[in-house]
Amino acid sequence: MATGDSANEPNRMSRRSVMRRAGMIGATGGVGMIAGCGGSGGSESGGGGGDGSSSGEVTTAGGDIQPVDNAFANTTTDNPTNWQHNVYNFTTPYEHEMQNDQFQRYNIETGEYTEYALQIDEWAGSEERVVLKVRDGLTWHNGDPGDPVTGEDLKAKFGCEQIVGNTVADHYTDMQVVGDKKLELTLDGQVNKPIFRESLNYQWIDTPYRLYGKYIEAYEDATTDSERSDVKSQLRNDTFEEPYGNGPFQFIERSENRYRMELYEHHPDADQINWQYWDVQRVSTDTASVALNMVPDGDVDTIRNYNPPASVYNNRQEGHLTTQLPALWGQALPFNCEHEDFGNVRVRQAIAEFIDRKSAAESYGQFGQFVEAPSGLVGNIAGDNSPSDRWKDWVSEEGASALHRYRDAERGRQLLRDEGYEKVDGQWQRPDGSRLELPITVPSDLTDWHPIYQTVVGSLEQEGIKAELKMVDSTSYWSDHYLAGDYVGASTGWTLQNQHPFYTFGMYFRTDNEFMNLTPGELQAPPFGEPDGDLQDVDIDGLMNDLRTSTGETQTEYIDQLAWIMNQTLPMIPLIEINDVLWMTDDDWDWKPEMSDSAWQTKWPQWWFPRMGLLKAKGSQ
Amino acid sequence: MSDKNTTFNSVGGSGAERDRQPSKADLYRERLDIFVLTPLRVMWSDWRTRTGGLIILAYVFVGVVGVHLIEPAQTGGPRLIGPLQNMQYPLGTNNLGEGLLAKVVHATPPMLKMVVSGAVFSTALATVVGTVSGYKGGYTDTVLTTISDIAMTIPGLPLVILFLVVFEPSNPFFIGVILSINAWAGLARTIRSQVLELRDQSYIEASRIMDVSLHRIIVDDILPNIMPYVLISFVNTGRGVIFGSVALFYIGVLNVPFSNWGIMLNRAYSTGGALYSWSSLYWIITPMAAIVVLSLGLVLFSQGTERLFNPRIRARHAESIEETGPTTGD
Repeated sequence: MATGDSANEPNRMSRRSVMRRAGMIGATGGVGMIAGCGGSGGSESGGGGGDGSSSGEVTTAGGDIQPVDNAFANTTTDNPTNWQHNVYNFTTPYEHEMQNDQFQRYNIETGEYTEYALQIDEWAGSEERVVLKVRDGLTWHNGDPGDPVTGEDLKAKFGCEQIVGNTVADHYTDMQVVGDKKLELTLDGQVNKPIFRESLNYQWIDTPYRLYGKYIEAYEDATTDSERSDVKSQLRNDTFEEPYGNGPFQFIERSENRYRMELYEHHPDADQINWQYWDVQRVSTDTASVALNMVPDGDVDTIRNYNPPASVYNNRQEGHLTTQLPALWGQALPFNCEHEDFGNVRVRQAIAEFIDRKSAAESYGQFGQFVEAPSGLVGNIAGDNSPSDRWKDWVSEEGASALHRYRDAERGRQLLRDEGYEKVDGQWQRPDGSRLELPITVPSDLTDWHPIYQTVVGSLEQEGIKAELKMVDSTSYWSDHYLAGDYVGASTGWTLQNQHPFYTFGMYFRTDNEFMNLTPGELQAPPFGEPDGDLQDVDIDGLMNDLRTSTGETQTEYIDQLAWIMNQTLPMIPLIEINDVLWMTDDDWDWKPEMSDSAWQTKWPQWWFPRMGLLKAKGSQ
Repeated sequence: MSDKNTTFNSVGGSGAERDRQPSKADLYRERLDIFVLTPLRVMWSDWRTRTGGLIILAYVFVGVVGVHLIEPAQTGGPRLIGPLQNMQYPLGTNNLGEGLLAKVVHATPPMLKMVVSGAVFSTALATVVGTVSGYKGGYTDTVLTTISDIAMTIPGLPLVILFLVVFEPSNPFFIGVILSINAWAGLARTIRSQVLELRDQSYIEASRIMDVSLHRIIVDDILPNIMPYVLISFVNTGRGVIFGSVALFYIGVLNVPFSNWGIMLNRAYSTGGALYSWSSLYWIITPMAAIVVLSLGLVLFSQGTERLFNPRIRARHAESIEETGPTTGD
């Protein structure tokens, strides 16, 4: 079963997403897993992950109580002793969401941003600068209390983003620490504030200057590209053995089966929490079994997200609590754009015509919907799992109708014939007479992805293209295949979990293009609205820069253009969009909001509710 | 003792028969009787071999003829239909809408190829090495035993994984050989032990005194005694190939481009959650039944074949011997 609490979430932001896809970050306890399912867990000591009995009584804002369960447990399928803690190193990085604080909270349902660890202290878009400020009272876990989190730590964060070239770094060119708590960014032109605001989503204060400052200084001192590249390489390769953090729980111990954190009483929100420990339990990769055994006396208190087969979902028992929220994400079929066949835009279009995306979504199960017009626009699934056309909100009416829907197999055949391919005895042959083949590399552990790609293979096989799934162990899939661009067809998400098209387009043309061996500057697309028109050069960089700084109708025009280019060039084919399913137990835990409350529509309630006082341990009688 | 049925011909029968030189047709008829009909009669006389043989024949039939009668499974059909609910899909469908009957049928040929190639490779190699090593002794034994010991010390699973990663095989015959690449050594050592015991038996001693060739002693005197064990090992190796393919598929090392019962099982378990609902259990039971029944057929067949290698029982069922044997008298 696909597992890992970080399942289905290769997309916090570009850097984190890459690491999540690489199966490395597990801030959700799902370290090591990427997609589909939450890892799940069980405490070694049993009882809902709670063996915090040693500590027992906890004084909280709610008064003195004796929690029934003194340790909240989420899960991982990894061995915690294998984790290192440089979050910019792709190899088994780990940070837990309760161990570090997020910049801001974004409610998907209301579209509302709530500042948390970081405030935009001063926005002067017209002056092309912004001042950011760290939340008061935030301290590192290196003392009692530890050092305060400062503007320098923020500089380390934004500096590291710049070094590795993540999307957020597109927005600024320089930075300066202002006082103890503030950082001023010099913007790269007049940046659109909503776009900038969204770039702060799913970002964490997780770069203490004492650890990351050396990279920032070396980068500042570097005078040549080679030197800058060396710094980046060093940042990517160094490992930090000791965990660090500034969140409400601090690391205390780990074994091969458990990573344990204890309440950090100096955190500004510590008084919202009435239990002592947070455990990340190592559990079986059979998430279905883990999920079903969460109650009545299971060891696991939450699986962050897990897409269950109907047979599992329908077997939930009393004490199981599940809800769902838009993943703003879904699975895609990326191509190696240097491949002899699939480097050809027309061949990619033909493949898209042959693939039955609707059937692929049905194979995924009840929590997925097909992407109506593959173009990088998020919003194909509603909260109740029905199809949605929210994606049209991003483009003009003309732009939406122009986007090709890719459901015309006959056009696909004609495209292949035009490119010199020939169908002989029901099998497509390449111009040299060999069979047209499309092996699709898929991580073997992410089993909830498999039905999607099996359906894709089925569609192509039925059309006469030799397709097959190549299962590769997840630990090597990301580092040796997808991130290395070593595949013909592969599997990944088509968003970075940001809604704004700037970020999805940025993923195709600025982040993942490297993984798809795509050179955006060489892309060609047919004229807008004419899918069968002659291919012509397009200016991706120019359009992206214009999009970043535009608003209103002008912005819609640029999105129209970029969506069209994506829709026609298809370096990856967005297949389906999904909802994430959260699993919790309420036998020992009091989840305050009603299940219909919009508070649940924030990624992820399991990490936000404790900080907000919306999750409490039940007291014993 | 080394005996060929033609030996009976030479010592028995009437004087006229002794004088008559057998024609070519007689020789062919005799060989057909000895090598084909007699074994079939012996097999048919034992219910285990009979049942096992019929099961294996059924699988071969499905693998050869069934694949032409039933279209390959295609995605996009109705999903998760239970067995016998829709006669277009008599065994039901999976989560992709593929008919399970079609999946099972079309997995049969590559599965049989994998099983047979793996079992034949491993058993044949083990039998040759073990028999020659045990019977010849001396330097030959030392060399072959050393090779076997080295092979036994190499961890099987990593070796298989290494071969699979390096060669990325897609041919089922080759995959079968790789999956059983490390199974021969232990079997060879066991066979060697048995042969060491057998070589001092009086009838083998007699064959040696009569200057019977090494080849004939091994084939006629030794192999029949070890064949029951060899055949059981053959079956176990075949089953090991099936189970190995399941495990290696699961960990992502074995990427087979063809249908496979193990893959069906794995998908039913991992993506279908078939273990957690009675209503979808058929999805797991179907490929499991295919594996279990074939395994049972192989085991029954091998158990009964002990009689096949017993010279006395063979003689009793050989018509050519009865017709020409001493009991007819002059």
